[in-house]
Formats: sequence, C-alpha cells, structure tokens
Amino acid sequence: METKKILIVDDDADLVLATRLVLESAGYDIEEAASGEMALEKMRTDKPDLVLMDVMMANPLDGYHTIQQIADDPQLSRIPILMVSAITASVYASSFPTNQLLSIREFISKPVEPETLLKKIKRHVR
Amino acid sequence: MNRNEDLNLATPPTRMSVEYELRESLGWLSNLRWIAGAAVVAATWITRNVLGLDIPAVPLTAIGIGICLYNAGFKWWLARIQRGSPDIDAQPQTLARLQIAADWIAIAALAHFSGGIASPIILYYFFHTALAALLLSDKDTYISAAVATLLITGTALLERWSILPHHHVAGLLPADLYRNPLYLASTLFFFTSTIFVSAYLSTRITRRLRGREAEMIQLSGNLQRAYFQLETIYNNAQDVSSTLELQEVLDRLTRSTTNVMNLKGCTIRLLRETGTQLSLVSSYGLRDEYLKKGPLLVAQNPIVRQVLAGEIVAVSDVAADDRLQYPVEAAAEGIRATLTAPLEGRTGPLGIIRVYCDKANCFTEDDYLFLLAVASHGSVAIENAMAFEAIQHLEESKRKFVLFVTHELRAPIGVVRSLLNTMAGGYAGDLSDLQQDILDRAVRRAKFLQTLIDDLLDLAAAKTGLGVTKETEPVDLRVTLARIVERYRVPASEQGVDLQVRISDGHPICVVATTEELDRAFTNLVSNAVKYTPEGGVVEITLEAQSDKAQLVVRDSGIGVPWEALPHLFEEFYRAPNAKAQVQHGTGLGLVITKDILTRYGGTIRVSSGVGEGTTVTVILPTVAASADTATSDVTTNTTHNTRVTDSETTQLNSRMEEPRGDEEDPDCG
Repeated sequence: METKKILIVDDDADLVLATRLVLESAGYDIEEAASGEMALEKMRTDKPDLVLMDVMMANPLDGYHTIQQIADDPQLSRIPILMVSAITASVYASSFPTNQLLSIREFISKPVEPETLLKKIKRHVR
Repeated sequence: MNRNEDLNLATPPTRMSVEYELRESLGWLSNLRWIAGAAVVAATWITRNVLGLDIPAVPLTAIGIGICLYNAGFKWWLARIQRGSPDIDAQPQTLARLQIAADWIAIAALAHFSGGIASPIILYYFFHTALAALLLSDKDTYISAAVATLLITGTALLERWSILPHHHVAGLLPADLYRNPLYLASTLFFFTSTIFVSAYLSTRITRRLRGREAEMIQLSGNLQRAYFQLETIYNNAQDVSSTLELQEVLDRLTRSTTNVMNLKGCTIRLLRETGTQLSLVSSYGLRDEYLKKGPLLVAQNPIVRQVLAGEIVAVSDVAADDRLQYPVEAAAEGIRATLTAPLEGRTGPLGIIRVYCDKANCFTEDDYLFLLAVASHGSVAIENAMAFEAIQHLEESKRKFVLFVTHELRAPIGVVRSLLNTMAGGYAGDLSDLQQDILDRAVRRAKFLQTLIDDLLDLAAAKTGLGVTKETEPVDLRVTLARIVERYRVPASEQGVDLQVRISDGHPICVVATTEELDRAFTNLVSNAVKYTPEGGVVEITLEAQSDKAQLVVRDSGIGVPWEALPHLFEEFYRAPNAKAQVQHGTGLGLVITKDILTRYGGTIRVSSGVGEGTTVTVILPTVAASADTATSDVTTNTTHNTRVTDSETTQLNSRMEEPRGDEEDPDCG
C-alpha cells in the first residue's frame, strides 16, 4: 500500500511538531506549511492526500482566505481538508463558505487528541 | 427678557385693553341712553296726563326723541369702530367726548324746560362726571365739569335776566325760586363745588383702578412669560435628555438656549482634567474666528473663577469691563454683554455655560434665573451623557479583554496540551511507568486549566452576551437535550448510573437562543447530575412543554447539596464541601454560567436538595411557537445522528461540525 501524504498547515511550530509526531507514528508522510501561501504552493507541487488546516493563522492569508483560494482552483478543491480551530469549532463551521466544490470534511477543535485525530484522518484517507 | 416681545407670546399692550374697555363702556352707555330718551318721553307724558302738571310737553318730548336720534348716530359710529375701519384714528376717545358733549346739551335743555336752576334734572350732571372720569382723561373730566357748570350758570342767569323764557312746572316748585338771588347763588355754589369734588374723586378712583389694571396686565404678562419659560425649559430638558451622545447633548443645549433667550450665541466650556483651563466643547451663533481665540485659563480669568465657585456672573458692558481675558476678540465679534453660569456636577464643577448679547446692559433678572435653570438641568444631562460614554468605553474594553483572553490564553494552553498528549500517548517514544504517570498528571492539570479558561470566557459571554458570535434563532430544546444526553450515555454507564430521559413527544419546543449557549447551560446540569451520583444511582431528565414555556427537570439520587451550601450555589467559584470531597477538580463556575445564560434568555433555575437526598434542578424557559410547516419531528433521528459526534467526546464537537450548513440542524423551529 502506498504511503499517504498529509499537509499540515499551521503557523505554530509547536503544534506542527506534536501533530507530526502523531501522524508519523501512524505511518503517514508529512509536509508542512507555515502560511496560507505556502499551503497553496505545496498543495500544487506535493499533491497531498489530505490537508490539516489551522483556521487562525496570521494574515495576510489566514485559513479562511486560503480556503477561498482553494475553492477557486478545481484541482485543489478536490483534496479533502480538515479544519483545526482553537475556538469551539462550531462557531467557525457556520461562518465558512459552503461551496459544494470544497471538500472541507470536518472541523476539529484544538487541542487535538492523538486518538481522535487519527480516527478522523483514517475516515477521509483511503 | 425684554427681547422676547418679538416672540409670539408677547405681552398684550396696556393701551389696547383700555381702548377695548372704552369701546365696551361706550356700548353700554348707548344702551342706557335708549332708556334715558324713552324715559324722557314717557315721563313727560305721565307728568302731564296722569299727574296733571303743566309742563312744556312738546319741547321735552322733542328732546327725548332728539336723544334717541343722536344715540342712533353714535351707535352706528361705534359699530364702525368695532369693525375696525382702519381709516379713522383715536375714535373711541373722540366718540366719548362727543357723546358727553351731546348729553350735556340735552341735560341743559331738559333742565331749562323743566324749571331751570330749580329742576332736579341738573343732578344728572354728576352721573355724567363719573362717566367722564371713567372714559376720558383727567383733563377731559375737569373740562366736562367746567362745561356743565357753565351751562347751568348760563341758563340760570339768562332765565334770571329774562333773556331766556323760564318754564315753570306748576305744583312741583315754588314759582319764583329761580328769581331768588340767594337761592341762585347757593345752588350754583354747591353745584359747582360738588361737581368739581366729584370730578376729583372720580378721577382719583379711576386712576387707582387704572393702576391696578396695569399692574394686573403686567402680572399676567409676567405669568405668561414665566409659563413660556417653564415650558421652554421643560421642552429643552426633554430634547437635551433624549439623547445620550455627549456632543449632541451639548450642541442641543447651546442651540436651544440661544434661540429661547433670543440672544446672539451660546457656548459651553468644560473643565479639563487638570482643572487649569476650560476648553470649548460646543457653541452656537458665534463665528469660528472668535471661537479660535484659545482656552479660558482659570488662573488668568477672574470671571471663570467666580463662576466655577458656583456664581452666575454678568458682564453688562464688554468695553467697560477689565475682567475679560479676550476683550479685543469679543469686541470684534460684536459681543457687548455676556452672562455666565456654572455647570455643576455631583462631585464638583463641570464647566461653564455662557450666553452672548450684542447690546450692552442686556440681561434682566429673568435671564439670570433662566440661565441658571438651563445650567442646572444641562449639568444633569451632561453628566448622564458622560456616564453613558464611560459605560460604553468600559463595555468596549471588556469586549477587547474577552477577545484578548480568548486568543492569548487559549492558544498556548492548547499547544501545551497537544504536546503533552503527544508525549503521553507514546508518539515521541516509549516512556517508563514513572514518566507516564507524571505526564498523565500534567495532562490532567493542563486540561483543568483549559476548562477554567473556557469557563471564565463562557462566564463573561453568559453574563453580557459578549463573545457570542452567533445570532440567536429558534432552537428545538428536544434536539439540544437529546444531543447532550447522548454525550453522557457512555460516561454514565461506565459509572454505573442509570440515565433516564423523558422528552415530551409531538411538537418541537422552541427557545430563541444560540444552540451553543443552550448546549452549555444544559450540559452543566447533566454533567453535574452524572458526576455527583454514585454507582447504582439514577439520573432522571424530563423535558416538557407548557403553554408558553418549557420545563426541564434534572433529578438525581446523588450526594445532594447540604442546606448551608444551597444559598451559595450560584456564587462564582463556590463548590459545596461534599462536592469537593467527591470530585477534586472543578471550577465552581458551571452553575453560574448556566444561570447567567438562562437569565439572559428570560429563564429561571431552581435547585432543591439535601444531603443524601439527591438533587432536583428545575429550569423554566420561555418558548416561541414553532414555524407553521412544522411536522411532528423525529427526535430519534437527531439523536442517532448525533451519536456519531460522541465518538469524539473529548472535543466539543456537535453535529454542526460535521455538516457546515448549520441551518439544517433544527428544521423544526426555524
């Protein structure tokens, strides 16, 4: 079976480290992006199987705006995305674009429990 | 307030009312004259035909008819005056003089034909003297008294010297009385003196009467002005107090004060925090060139010091007053007089209000009182607006604080927990038992810290609604409750607690709120019940709809609340001693948050309990009618749907997170 590639988009290096440790232990390949711009670039070059995106990144391109750009690109919008947010996830859920093309699969609130994260990822990466 | 005469509520001028009265008097005088004329004709006829006295009936009757004739003429003239023909001036006066003159001649003729100096008719002259005093000026009254004397004396003398024939009324008077020089002299003397004394007394009385009348008119004018001022102050106070925006309050004050006092302009200056100068905050009617002159310095301005000490200070002539800080600028602006009153707050002077007049010696006692009244209600309005601004400022900083805490506290603790979880979960390599134990403790403590931060945020949000980013909408309580219950099924069964739920079937129970807050409020109740109920116990949750409210009862067979702890249950950070013993970590904020949320949505919460007796919490929330197309909802579907969510019980996920289109969540209440 081919190794699945996951792109972690977060400007908090500590959080990226924690997530990377968990996912690597489950055998995933990890790519990192510390900004929205970098995320778009890596999505195009590395073609990840799933993106874990932090909602609250520093401007100019935060999670929300990155998602909008992804929605405009038919190639990128096919990639499943899990949104991670520090605030109660449901608050964000209702304010996000409901574009059908987008493949936001789930909202996850921080802090991420390793077990839960792996379970959710398994559901969307096959 | 002399300037107010331009306004619609001007004093009724005194002259007008006197003229009005004169016209009225002339009216009833004419009416009286009809009777007099008719009475002369009738009396003549009766005297001659009934009493059988020999009197000159033809001339007397002719005089009676003559009186009626000229009276008709006067009547017509008076009617013209009353219609207000503009082409004739000062007519009531002329008419009054003419009437009295005509009556004089008529009385003289009557007296002549009824016995001359001996006739009792001459007494009528006194009656007319009083009338003249009432209707005409003093001078005219004396002239008319003199004319009457002349007429009587002339007639008497002419008859005495037989130049005029004497008409004798036989049987009434002695026949030759008119020839008796002593009688003639004494009658004329007493007549003359009496008529002049009468004239004097009548004019004095009339003058006093006029004085009183003028006083009354002035008083009523003052009353009207006072009423107008009161009304204005009231309207201004209402107008000024109808806004809480400070600048608007100030601008309305200066504008309305200028207009009501009919002055050049008005300014309000407020004391700076340093207390050394006043800065202009609002003005009306003055040019920018003048207003730019600079601040009023308390140290250099004796007027300002006096006003700030609570006095009202007038500068009656700007050119002659050396207390002014900017005399040149004031002169250039055309200001001749100023009046300054203090604006006094509850704790000290706020500033000053000043009005400007373009005439010297402009201000009256009334102006002082009026400006003081404006200043006192203005101060209240200004203070209220200031307090309101302070509150708004406070609310804003509170909101900023909540946002700050949200981001700055929650983010790092989240990262710490993620890192700890990673290590404790063995994802960073194997751990010894001791390391595992230490990390598990750290994880628990970090989790508690996060709960505390979340609770504090929720508390701030619950009390004020601040930080609640979503709009309220009708939410089906049954759906919310079912979701919470599903979340607690697993923990309850692990703990050996029987979780029983009864939700009334049928119609949705809709409460206007946010799903998140209702979730938070009820989660606390269910969580408490489960947490403090030992193995083998029961937690019973009942939700039912009553006419326009919903009742939720959470009853447990748990440890209960000691009676001495009951009054403190809704206090922040309070935890009952037996609860502390049972569960070590708790923030003591849950019930407070629940109560604050419920209160904000118009609900109530009641707790009844006793140690070992379990606890019953009853919540009442006002409901709204479900939308018209509501079908009988299927709660089971919702709960099953939500079971998926409970897989991740450690996160606060609900169904909305799985389906971003949140609108579909509560189709029954939307």
